Amino acid sequence: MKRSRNVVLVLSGALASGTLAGCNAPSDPEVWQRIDPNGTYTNNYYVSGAGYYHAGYHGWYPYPCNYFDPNRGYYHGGTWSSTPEPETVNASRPTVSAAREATARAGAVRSGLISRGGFGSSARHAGS
Amino acid sequence: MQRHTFSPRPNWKELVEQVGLTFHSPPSGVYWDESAYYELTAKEVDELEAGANTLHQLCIEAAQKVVDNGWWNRLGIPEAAVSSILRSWNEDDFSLYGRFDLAYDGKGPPKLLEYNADTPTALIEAAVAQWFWLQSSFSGLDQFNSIHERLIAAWKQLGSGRIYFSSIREFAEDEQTALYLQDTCHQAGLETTQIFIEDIGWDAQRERFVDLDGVQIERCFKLYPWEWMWHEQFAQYLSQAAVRWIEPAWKMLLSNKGLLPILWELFPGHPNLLPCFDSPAPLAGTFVRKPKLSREGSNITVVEGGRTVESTGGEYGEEGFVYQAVAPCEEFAGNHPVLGVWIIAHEAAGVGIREDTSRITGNQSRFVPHLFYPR
Repeated sequence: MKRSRNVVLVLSGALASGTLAGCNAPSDPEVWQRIDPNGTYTNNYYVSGAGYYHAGYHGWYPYPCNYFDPNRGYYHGGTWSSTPEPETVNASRPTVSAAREATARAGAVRSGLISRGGFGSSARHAGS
Repeated sequence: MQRHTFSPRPNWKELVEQVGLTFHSPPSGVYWDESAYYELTAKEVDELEAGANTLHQLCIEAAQKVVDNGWWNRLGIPEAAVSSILRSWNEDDFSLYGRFDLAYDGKGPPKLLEYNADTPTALIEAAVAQWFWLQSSFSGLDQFNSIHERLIAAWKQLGSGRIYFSSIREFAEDEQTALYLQDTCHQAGLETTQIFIEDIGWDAQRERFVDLDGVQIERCFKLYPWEWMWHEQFAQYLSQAAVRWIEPAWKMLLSNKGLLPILWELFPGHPNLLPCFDSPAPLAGTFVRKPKLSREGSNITVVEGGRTVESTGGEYGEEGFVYQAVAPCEEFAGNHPVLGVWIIAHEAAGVGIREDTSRITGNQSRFVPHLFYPR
């Protein structure tokens, strides 16, 4: 006997069939922005250092809205839940305090001299 | 070893996509090809397994020779990389996987063509897609394939903590391969996070690589070749940062066709090796010229009787070439199979077969499943 007895996929099968919702690519990972409390931001709008905007909660969080972790469940509004947020709010304005806090976090990352893009410039298919 | 034609499952595309093989049909044609399969005997599987285990040990011995003699130039390794290689070699940094490409037709011992020891792909096909193909098409038969459970077992060696999984953007095969490995790591009980290689940050103040939230990256699987990393902007930080990369820097010694002549020097006449040299002279006009560092069959030239009979283009060859004897293998219905034997945590764990009507296996070569009749 030289074969696997049981092949189970937890993450990759789910992603291939499109059931891992809420893991959008960052909207703009490189640009540091001052966040406008009067601006309207779409759900999961990404700001480097601040995180992902959760429109239903008017603030930025470290994981995308409805990011799914098999151990913890769905993430929204800063907590993990067994059910996803229905995403009835597609866009909203952040609260003043959330905008201020997110701007500060983004600025902190920027002033910490974090640079990106230093790998990947040879980008081709990298497997062999 | 035999090749059989077979009827593909009617919904095969859907079935392989369900297990992560989304790149089955490139614009050039079919990559996952279940209109045929290879049948091996149990004895042949034993021979492949033993051959790969032997070759892995020979490669480790050859790598030690490179370290002892400082043969960095023979492998085209940049000087900046040497200290990282030595540190990871001396500390025996964790190695997850590699894939030997072997010439084999069942008539003689498997012969080493090359060792993809740093960023091997064709993994989902070998570990998962062909396993499910076997269950649905020949459920009573066997397959040289314990890759999946060996991967999970290998990750467990790392204990606990977080592993980042990195590949380049917009290459489905690479993304899916990294995701599959992330899946096995997750099943081993570790925390995992995906990050594209382009998004890895360098925090100059804290002198560390960080993720998109500024969190330090301590352990990172990268589906990105070391020889590229050492020529990019962040190469200057590789030696000072405390990241444990998977695969580790010492795999640069193995994933390098410059090791092939060294293997032949150390073990001349070994049944699992083909004669290989730094110059074509000893091969009397019939040889395969390969760049020391190349991928997917690029920049390969087959010369017979002093005449080029096949060649491929590409961007590789800057580090020089090696010259290898032509493997004496039979064709199977006009196809040239290459047997990719997977090494997981230093042990042979399974095989994936790719074939082509060309003698050069490239990124257009088809993956064909296999089986064997258990004893």
